[in-house]
Amino acid sequence: MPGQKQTTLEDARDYCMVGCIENFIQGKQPPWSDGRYNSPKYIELALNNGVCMHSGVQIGPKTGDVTEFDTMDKFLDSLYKQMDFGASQYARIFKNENERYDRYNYMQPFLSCFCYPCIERALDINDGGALYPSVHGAGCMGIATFANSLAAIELNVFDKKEITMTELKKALVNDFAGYEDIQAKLLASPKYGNDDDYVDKYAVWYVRVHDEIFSKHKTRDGGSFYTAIASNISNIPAGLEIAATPDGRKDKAPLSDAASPMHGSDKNGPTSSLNSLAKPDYTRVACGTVVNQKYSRSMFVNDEKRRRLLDLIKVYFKNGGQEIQINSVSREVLLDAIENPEKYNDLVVRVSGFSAYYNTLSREVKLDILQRTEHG
Amino acid sequence: MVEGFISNIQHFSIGDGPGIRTTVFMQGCNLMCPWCHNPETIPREPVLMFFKSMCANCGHCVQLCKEDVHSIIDSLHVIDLQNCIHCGNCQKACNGSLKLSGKVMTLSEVFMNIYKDVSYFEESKGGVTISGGEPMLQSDFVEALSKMCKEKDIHVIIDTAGCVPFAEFLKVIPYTDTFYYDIKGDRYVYDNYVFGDYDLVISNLAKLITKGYDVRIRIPLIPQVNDSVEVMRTVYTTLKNLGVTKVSILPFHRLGSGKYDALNQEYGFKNTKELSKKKIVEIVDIFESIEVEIENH
Repeated sequence: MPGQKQTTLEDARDYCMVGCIENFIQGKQPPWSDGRYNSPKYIELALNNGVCMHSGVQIGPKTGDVTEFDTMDKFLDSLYKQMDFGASQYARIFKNENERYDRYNYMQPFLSCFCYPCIERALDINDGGALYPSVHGAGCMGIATFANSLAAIELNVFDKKEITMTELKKALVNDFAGYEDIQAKLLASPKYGNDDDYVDKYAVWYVRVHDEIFSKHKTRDGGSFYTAIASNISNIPAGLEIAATPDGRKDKAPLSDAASPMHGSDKNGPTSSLNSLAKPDYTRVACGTVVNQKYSRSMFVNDEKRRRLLDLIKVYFKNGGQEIQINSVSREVLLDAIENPEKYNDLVVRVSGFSAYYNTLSREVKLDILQRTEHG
Repeated sequence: MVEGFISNIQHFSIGDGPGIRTTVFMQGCNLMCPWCHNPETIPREPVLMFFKSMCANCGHCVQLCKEDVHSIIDSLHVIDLQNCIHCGNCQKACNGSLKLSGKVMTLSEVFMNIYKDVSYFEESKGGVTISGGEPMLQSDFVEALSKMCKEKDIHVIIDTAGCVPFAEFLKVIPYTDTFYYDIKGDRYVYDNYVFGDYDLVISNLAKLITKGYDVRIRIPLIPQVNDSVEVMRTVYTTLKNLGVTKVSILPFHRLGSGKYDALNQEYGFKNTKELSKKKIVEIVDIFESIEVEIENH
């Protein structure tokens, strides 16, 4: 188990899953905890010298006026400081909360029964009974929103110099109203999930930096802070806390989901998407990642097609991927996708001798596939 | 530098040969099959497809187009293709309702794009399929591309309708594992529907088979065009005499109809019904001594 340096190999191999993706040393570890870290918010803070765009309050450190920056590296340095400060605050808030559950106020006799050392030592699981300390997982959100935003800044502000930092900030403050040209350019910039290093390098950076800033912290009994690239559905409420972002995303709109590309922006098929997703070093993500991919039921109709999906997953794991969940699309979703195509840009369906994006098909074909699905 | 005129490069293609494949659709065809399910690949110039039903009328394309092709009038996206220079900028921020077919790409651009998926090819015993359009119309490019693939041990299929001089085949033969070779019908079908040289198609096929190359015959079965017993008997006899032992039959489907709408073209097969199972069995029965595989959509 990466990151759990103090764990013996024997115990590590006896790990189990707790929750969805978090790994855990069964029978030897106190309860797990996790939280959510709103990563793209720190891009907002870096752009505004630590000031929140929603409240106007200084909530991050003063890291400099971005309009005076002449390189992307200077921006990344500021962003790093904002994120590092944010991680410290996160750790403080977590510890305040966590300390309420101390050995005096929160004894856990039931859990202690399932922890071997508790019995040997005759101590509660929260009172030194467990062999290993408790660990915490910081669920880092919006990796694609984050990477796309950085790529858009690099391309438009520093590389092509088509948008100045001042213009970009104005466009974001106004939620792109009156700045539609800027929003279009930002949306047209490279997007995570298309096997394009220009943007994928920022996902690599994201994973490395989150590990660096969180691994500095310890839980109250000395355990590690891990990172997770997962958000369940928190990417939606998290988006409410963030103003418009440099990837072209509007104020309060949802962030990208878990470790997946931004909804609908991976346009080159599942192999390109997984090639992007395999680039970050996930051995730094000890609390796990979640990748969602959707396929229609027709991808599962015979052994031949199922084998292709299996091959796809095998390659992803060989390339360093941790977890992937393949979803077969229900009839309800296909119906909804007819009415609301903009929500389903990444939906791949088996059409004839080929697979196609559902949205590129005519209404009749969609109805046709809908019927097939019903019978399939 | 060799350049190719490309319609689209499709990853995770699983219907164009064994394993996980990347299919390179070449732009431009010299046949005019009226049932074609990839009509955007026929013209030898770029075309912009507009899938109206997907358009959110967001206007991002209006901002990105420098030629005033796109406008939003009364909250609706209106296109005037007259000034379109086919730069493809408009599709960059689009949800997918705009799609440019026909882009000049260098050999290395195309190869690098393919090579990214090489681990999937290895795992699944897949490879590259060069299709179209008619890939053999760009035989110099296809030769160079398939040669590069072979140097990296990537399996190559060329999907052709065969209506080109045999000299074009000679260029690609050394680097091609399998030819997918379309037979659209008898002489009448070639003369009256697809407008191609029947004798050329058949003589090329004969040469490929005689020389022992791996050829897989594919026959699209199209209602009222080639689905009669007479036409298929002629096809059967011709193929049998050439020593063909196995064919694939691809029954008609209407899945390309959305593309005709997107190209603002009339689709002559819009109301044509798919073939019944009974009808397909009847045709299969004609191919007595040739093994038939049905490739359903």
